Parts: sequence; structure tokens; C-alpha cells
Amino acid sequence: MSFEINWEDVGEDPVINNSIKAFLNSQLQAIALPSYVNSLQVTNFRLGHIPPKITLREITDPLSEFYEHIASESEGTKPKEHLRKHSTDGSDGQDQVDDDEEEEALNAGKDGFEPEPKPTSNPSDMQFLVEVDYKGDMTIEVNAELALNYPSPSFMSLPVKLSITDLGVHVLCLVAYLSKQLFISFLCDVADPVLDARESITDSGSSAFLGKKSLERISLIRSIKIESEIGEQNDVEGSVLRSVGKLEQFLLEVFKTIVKVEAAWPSWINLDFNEDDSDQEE
Amino acid sequence: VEGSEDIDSPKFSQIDTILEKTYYNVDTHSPETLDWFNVLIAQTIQQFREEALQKDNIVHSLNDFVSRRSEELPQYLDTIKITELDIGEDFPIFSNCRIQYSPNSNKQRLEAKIDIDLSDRLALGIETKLLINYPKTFAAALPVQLTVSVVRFQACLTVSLTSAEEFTSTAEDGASYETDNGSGYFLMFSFSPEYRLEFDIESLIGARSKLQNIPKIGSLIEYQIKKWFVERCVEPRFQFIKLPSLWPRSKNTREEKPENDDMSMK
Repeated sequence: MSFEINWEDVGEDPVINNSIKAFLNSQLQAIALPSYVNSLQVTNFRLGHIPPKITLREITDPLSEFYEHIASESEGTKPKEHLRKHSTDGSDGQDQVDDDEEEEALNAGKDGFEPEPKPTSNPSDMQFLVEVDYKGDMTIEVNAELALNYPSPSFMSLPVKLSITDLGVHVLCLVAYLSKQLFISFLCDVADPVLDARESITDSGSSAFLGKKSLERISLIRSIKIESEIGEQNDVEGSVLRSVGKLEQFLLEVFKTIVKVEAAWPSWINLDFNEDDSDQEE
Repeated sequence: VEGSEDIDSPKFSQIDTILEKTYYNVDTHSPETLDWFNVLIAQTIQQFREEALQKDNIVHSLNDFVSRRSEELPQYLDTIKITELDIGEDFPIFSNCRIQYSPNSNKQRLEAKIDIDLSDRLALGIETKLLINYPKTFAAALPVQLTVSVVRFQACLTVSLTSAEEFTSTAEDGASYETDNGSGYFLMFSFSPEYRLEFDIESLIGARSKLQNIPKIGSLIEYQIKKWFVERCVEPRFQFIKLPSLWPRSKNTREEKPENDDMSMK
């Protein structure tokens, strides 16, 4: 464990818990529900009392993928807008703008106007490779509307409460900081055989080290427990229980998919701190 | 590129006269050693070191200074504790001194070029914590121990005495010498860009499980120090220091008591 974590302040913080809840809900909105589920919503999220153990494994320059991402982002938005604006209001300011853009690109190390292969890296950009070991008491409560399609389609719907607990992960994770943006990406389980082959996971300097097919790797989630609660009177009905089992299975897949698609390499969580920009840097 | 239009100006003839009357020909005079200067400087440094060691006061005063200014530290740094301070045991050696016209000055100004070489260990050790303020202030902390030592410095030093007129301050707050003490002479020095500054940087990062001597950390710190240095005293930037008056005054008069001579530095 390299980081001293002040978990008392974090785990029970309503703002943090609510923002994670909101994130999960926004993810759930995007998922196509099977016929036996009508709605799916996270009603409660608690990080719990047990902090993750975080161990620093390497400190390096950020991977080129992050720079490419920033370059493509800025190519796609800002400079084109500038161009359009100025081509309509006469040709006079055109050259001026180009110069400004170039200067900006040199100064800020991004926002490249000219197509650049890579945005200029800043020596203070940094990337941590960390090992995250989590076996905490995080709980996620989900409300679902279960549709009973027996004996006839949509015969009745049942509110179901599910709780997800006992989440266990032990993964390698990249945390990169560059151009005031934070990138977090889960790489693989620490026991993944992909790690045996090499001494340093990032020494190749590129993403080639893990390939892009996340399915070939060991699942990032080591353990997870999903329990469901429905009205007592239906407990005896085998059909209801079967559907609930299916729902549990479905939710498990949903959960794993969110982690894989949103946060596992070659995807990442991107936090942009550019809003509170204070241009003065010593 | 020595311009000819100013060759008859009063300043040029002044300099010309000075060179003539000091028997110095800029083109033919051979470089001098500065052995005498090295001895005096070494003596001054030695005295400074002794004081520092006897009272153990540098570490304390530095720590005081740092803790007094801890409010100004960036958000991501915990208080800084100074753990080691090595003020070295060797002395800088100045050599190969020669006088030349300042480039681009149209022979209006003279300067001395001096080679400087220092092999020593000047080290500063600190202990702090990198604070992670996401998702909440002080959510996590990463202990950091650093020892940064300068082990070699080689450069060509340019020194001249000048009045302030021709130069502007690079400070943005307008803190300029021109307002209150614009008159008088200034000592101006700068290092040529082809300097050599070698570091030995040790790092230990982490609480219970630690990473040791990460190259990335070393290069990051080296970059920051060199940036600091270049922005202050590498050509085309100069350090500009007002010279005190050397006119003999009674308040500066002393009599014999076993004290070393020192008039070169504080």
C-alpha cells in the first residue's frame, strides 16, 4: 500500500455517493433491457467503510494514446470552429488566426491547428501504474420492475429490490495526468497471464502490451454478490424465482459490461479539470 | 557585426581609453587564471559553512521559512520538511578569465568571461506528501522523500559592471530598479547556454510499499530546476545586482581584531 487513504471522509460522503449513483444510472439508461425487466434504477449507492489498497507500481510518461485522444478532441472542436467563424467575416483576419492557433499549440501543448502526429508532451505530465486491491463493503441497491410473462405475456409486474455487495477486484490500473486531464483505465487482473511475459507492463510505450480485445483477459471483477428481495407471498412460486435468478444474472452482466466498456483498456474514464483554469503556472 | 556608426561616440572612446590605460588589449591579451579570487571566494564560503554547521541553523531557518510560507504551497502538496542539507566541502574554481566587448553592444560595453567549474555535493533532502484532492480534498496522500544533489556545475560566466539604462526587468509586477535606486552601478552576471549541470536525485515514493529512484521523478525535478535556472540567469537573461557604495565611511570602519578579511562577499 503506497497511498494513505483518508477513507472516513470519502466513503460516507453523500455528494460522492450520489454522483456515483447518478453515473451508474446514466449508464443503465443506455442498456437494452430484456423482455422480463421493465425498469432498472440504482436507488442507493454506498462506498462503505473499507478503503481499497492502492500500491504504486511504476511512474512513467503517459502513453501516447492519451495524447492522441486529446489531439483528436481538439481537432474535432475548437480550431474548426475558429476557421468557420473567420471565413465568413472576411479574409482579413485569417492569417492572424492561423498564427495565433500555432502559437497556442506551442504554448499549451494541445489544441493543435496543424495536423500534428502527437501533441507536445509537457515534462510534468505523469502516469502512475497502480495496483488496486479492493475487497470492501460497497453496496449498490437497484430497483427493478420484473415482468412476469407466465401464463401470458406481461401477466403482471413485480417490483424487485436487488443489492450488489461483496465486490472484489485486484487489478492493475493506469492513472495518467496531462494537460489538466486525468485518465483512469483498468488494465487487467493482477493474476492475468498476460503479465507473466513481461517485466514492465508499459515498457513497450504503447497499447500493444494488452491488445484491444478485452474479452481475452481474465475478468476484472473477481467476486460479486447479488441478492434479490421480492414480496414474501411470491417466494414460493418457482416461476418468479426463476426470473429473479435470470435478473440477477442479467444485472451481473450489465455491471461487468459497464466496467469493461467504460473503464477498462482501451477505454478510460476521462476527468477534465480545465474549467477551473488558472493560466498562471510557475 | 561590430557597428562602425558609433565608433566615435563618447562611450566608445571612454572604453578605448580605459583599455589603453590599463594595458589591456582585448584581442591579444592572454587569459588569466583567477587563483587569487578562488582563494578569497573559498575562504568566504568556508566561513559561511562553518557558521552553518556550528549553529545547525540553515536547516532550521529553511524549515522555518518553508513552514511560514506553507500557505503558499500548491494544493497538491502537504507541508514540506527539510531532512537533509549538504552544503558541500569543495570550492568553485574560476579560470580562464578574459575581457571582451559585449556582443551586440557596438563596442560600448566591456565584460569579463570566466570559466567556472564546481565538483561537489550540494544536496537538499525533503519530505512531503502529494495530496490527492479528488474526489474530495485530502482524499488520499502519497508520501514522497526526495534528495536532490548538484554534483557538477560547469559554465562560462559573463560578468560586467554597468548602469541600468539599457536593460528591462523581466519581472511582471513592475518591481523595477529604475524607480527608487536607478542610479549607481550594477553587477551583471549571466551564464552561457552551454552550461553543464549534473544532478543526483534520489526518490522514495509511497507509504508502506515504496518505489525507489524513479527515473521519471528525477527528470521531472531536473527539468524544473533547470527551468528555474534558465529563466533567471542564463543568457539572454541576466542577474542584475545593485552595488553598494564603496566610498569610505566612518560607520564602515573597523579595527584589528582576529577576524578574516572579507570584502568580496557577505
